[in-house]
Amino acid sequence: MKLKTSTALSLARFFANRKSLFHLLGIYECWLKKKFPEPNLPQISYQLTIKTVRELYSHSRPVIWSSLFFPCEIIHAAGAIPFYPEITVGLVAALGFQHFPLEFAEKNWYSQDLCSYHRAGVGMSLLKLFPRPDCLVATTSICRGTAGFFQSLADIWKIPCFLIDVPYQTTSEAIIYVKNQLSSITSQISSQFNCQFHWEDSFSLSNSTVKIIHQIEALRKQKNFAIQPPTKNLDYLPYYFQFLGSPSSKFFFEKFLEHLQKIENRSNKFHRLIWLHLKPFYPNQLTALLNENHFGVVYDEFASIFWEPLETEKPLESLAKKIISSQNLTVPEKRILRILDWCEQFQADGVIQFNQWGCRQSQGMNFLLKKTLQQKGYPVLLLDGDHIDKKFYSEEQLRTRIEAFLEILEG
Amino acid sequence: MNVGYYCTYIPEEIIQSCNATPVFLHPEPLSTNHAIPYLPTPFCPFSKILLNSFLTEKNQDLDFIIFGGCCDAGKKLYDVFIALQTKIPCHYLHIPLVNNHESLKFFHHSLNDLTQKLLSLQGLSQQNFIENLRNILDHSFIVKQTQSQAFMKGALSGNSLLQGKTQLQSSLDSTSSSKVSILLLASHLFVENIIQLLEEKEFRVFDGSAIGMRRYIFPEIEYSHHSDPLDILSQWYLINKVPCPGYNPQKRLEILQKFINRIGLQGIVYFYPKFCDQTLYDLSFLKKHIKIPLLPLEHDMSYSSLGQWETRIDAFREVLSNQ
Repeated sequence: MKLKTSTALSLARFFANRKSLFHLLGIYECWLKKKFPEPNLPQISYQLTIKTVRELYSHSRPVIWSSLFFPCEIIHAAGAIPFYPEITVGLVAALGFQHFPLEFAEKNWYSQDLCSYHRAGVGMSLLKLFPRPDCLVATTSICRGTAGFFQSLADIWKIPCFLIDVPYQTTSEAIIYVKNQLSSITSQISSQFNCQFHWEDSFSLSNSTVKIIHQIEALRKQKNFAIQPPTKNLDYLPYYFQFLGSPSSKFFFEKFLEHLQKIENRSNKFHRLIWLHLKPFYPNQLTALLNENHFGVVYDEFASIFWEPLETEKPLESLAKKIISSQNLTVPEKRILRILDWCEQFQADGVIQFNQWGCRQSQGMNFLLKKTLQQKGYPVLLLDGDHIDKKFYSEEQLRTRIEAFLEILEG
Repeated sequence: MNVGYYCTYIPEEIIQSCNATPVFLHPEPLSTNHAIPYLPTPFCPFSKILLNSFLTEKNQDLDFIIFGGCCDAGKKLYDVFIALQTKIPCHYLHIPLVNNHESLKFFHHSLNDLTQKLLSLQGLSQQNFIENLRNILDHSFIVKQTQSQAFMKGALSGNSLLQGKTQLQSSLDSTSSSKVSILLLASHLFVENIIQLLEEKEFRVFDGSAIGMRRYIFPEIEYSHHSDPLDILSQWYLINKVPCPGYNPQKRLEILQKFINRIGLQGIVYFYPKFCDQTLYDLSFLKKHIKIPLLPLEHDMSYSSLGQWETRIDAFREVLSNQ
């Protein structure tokens, strides 16, 4: 068995490093386009994934790896290809492949107490299965683990990492500080890749995509409306992050909106829930359990727009504000206020958060979150587990907790 | 006024110059009972111990607390502390994770903010503060320089840093030649006990912990009496200090490597708290790049693993002796 695994990994590594092979995917893409002249949403998503895989592995343009909350508009404006390892490990887990990188990272002294998004990203890099980066960019706005993760990636791939240090408190000085760091990073990217930043295209696409996302939000506010299956929207994270500021994201959300507008409202009663943080991406029974108990997710925290429209006239200041705004998800005072606002706007019955084992920043505010929301009359369910590492998954425990929560909601 | 702080990047000179007394927090006993409802299980043990001590008013002699650092646990400790509305006023000081001109400027600005807060509490003028700070820096520079030079030459082993020694020891322990020299990397907790345990096991220990090397050693410290004093402090603490795990890993590696080579250290004991992300990344980084044996010892908040630590330390001693 061990021999088979190592052979499979060696083969995967061999193919992952053959740029020319990935050019051949272009033929497959043409065939898909012909076969599906009017593709449905999953087909659109599939075709975009194939295109991205081809671009990333064939290295047709510089590949820039980025942390989740680094504004992708910068990478699109530079004409580079963005790659978000934290998002991609979700796909790795969905394919049931996550235990290889996780184990490999652990063998290389990356403790299993570290965030598994990062641990799997390190493992995939050590195994050289991810597309080789030309440059790394990250912000510390969401969690401190991101910095450690990207510093490790820089060490593994032997390339520079541009880290944006984001202060915890939002002040005018903090915005200037982040803006000046962005200025230095964009200069370095510009000289490294000999490129200009086309802010207008990228910002305009980003802003217009956000408008469509707001239309989707308006639909979700309707009393009998919920995206099915529950938590499905979190599978579309790449379009909220990695592709934002590119035509792909705008196209996807246009089609997503069309798709949602065609859906008939649910006639049966369901419990309207706000979903916080992310979800387990490996194959699991969560969705089935939510459906079984008539839970519908009416809004997801990670699909929320937390920033103001980007301004082409002052691009770096605008992006600095966007980076700092991501603290709407990490500073308890701001985060909880937003959640309460969603509870009201989306007429939610309660809130669920699926805790991530290694995520100190989100778990560290669980007490404040639960206390405040419950005081305002919104029941909160905090599920323990891990989004990537299946070792921490227990279906029976999950079932018991969800059923108990149903009793609270109906009680 | 007693000002409590625990982050090694917070310059105590600022507190002293505001006519206040700096109190470096590393509380005993190591209890977390009162903090348990407020912080999750997989969370920094030191934060839990600190919160416990704040909630049980073990620190009732504190008049002000400075929270700091850049780790998620430090930030959440601050958030929970202010939400629980304990009576002690506090401040969060952002410590930049990167070292460059911009971060120095921002750190200067943050130090200035902290100063203004302390001055308003103390009713002290800016002019008096600057005068105080200049005098304190004159003295502090000599202490830091002497101590750093002595430590980097290998003259301050064991708990010398914890005892505040700055000079070369006149005569080394006569048995030191038979001892195995090692570097102890650790955070705030158990440091004195683990040094004692390692010395009992015939190790000569150099204290690279948060309450030793990371707090007191500034290898390339520079000073000019005529420079802006806050510029000097920003430079000392952000650039010249031995970096903590996660802050400038490359520079931290260079300093540790230089120290290991100069003293001829034979091994590293890395005594680290569970659920500390910076330390966990630092451990994998050092393990990869430092080519001397490294013994990782994980702890939570108790001595419950003491027997296991002893066994592993004995085995490590044998490995090093056989080299």
